[in-house]
Amino acid sequence: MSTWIFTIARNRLIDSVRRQKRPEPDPDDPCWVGDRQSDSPNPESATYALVRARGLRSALAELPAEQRRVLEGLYFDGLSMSELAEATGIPLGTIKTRARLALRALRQHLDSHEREASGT
Amino acid sequence: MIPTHHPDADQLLAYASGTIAEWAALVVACHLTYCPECREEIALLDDVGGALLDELPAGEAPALPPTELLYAEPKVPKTRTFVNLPPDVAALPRPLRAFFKDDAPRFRFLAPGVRHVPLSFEVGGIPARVIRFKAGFKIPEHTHEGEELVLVLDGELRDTVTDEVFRTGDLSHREPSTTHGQNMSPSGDCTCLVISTAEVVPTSAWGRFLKAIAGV
Repeated sequence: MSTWIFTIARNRLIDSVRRQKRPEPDPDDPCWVGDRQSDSPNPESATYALVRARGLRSALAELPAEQRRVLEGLYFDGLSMSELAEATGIPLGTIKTRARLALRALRQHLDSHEREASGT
Repeated sequence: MIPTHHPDADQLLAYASGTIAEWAALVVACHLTYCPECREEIALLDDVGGALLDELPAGEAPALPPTELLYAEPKVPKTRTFVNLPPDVAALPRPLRAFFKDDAPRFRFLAPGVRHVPLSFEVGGIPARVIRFKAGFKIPEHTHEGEELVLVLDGELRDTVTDEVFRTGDLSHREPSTTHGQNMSPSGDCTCLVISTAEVVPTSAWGRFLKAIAGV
């Protein structure tokens, strides 16, 4: 649900501010390459989405403040990494590292959270 | 077949958070058409956006668009419908086709062995074009002053410097000041989306000739 609201908000913002359409892949495209066969839970399922959302929230709560600020700058202030570097005076390389560390931490947290949730 | 050369993590994050330049967004969207792996990554990054929204303390409004923007009709042209496309254009991914001014653009002669869809579309002021190289065509070594993004849409090419092979959906992303050339596979024509953010500096006489006639 939150993801849905976020994507709508983001796309509306891009449409309105830039007067441009955000390029998006289209599942009905004849060029579309289908999803991989995998044993991982179906990302479309409501339970999976709930588990993931809960996992992400707890992971975000544990993130160091400076890493989280980079994510918020990107997602909410609509600043690119270079714009963020300019606005904060933090070197671009540091911003990139923080973003990468943040995403790695979120992914690791999510993996363990999902393992717990599936009882393995 | 699933692509093996992907956009880097920064580009995917910029795409998901909506802070990417439009020309790069186009490349990522085309890649996503072919790449279930990166689509999973984008789904996660979208969820991160959702979770960040959830985590905002109540009453604190982020720099999100005001509600009238959320509910207003976007001021962008409606997506065109593509009926009876010529076969050489029908094979192009949809995010790309949305950028053609003409509903049914045709590949035109550019140089011997090279055809392109002419500059009928420019993405955010950065020239982008779809180029189709004849099987076995060799692009001489050249240096880019800016970034170069090449997304293979059909066929196969080999980078002469790194010896990497790029097939449908693969993205070659060259940083400024790198030198390389590309050899098309002899087994079939190769069609690519090519976006350069700055002039190309050819490193050989043949390259200068190519640049002069093609501007690539």
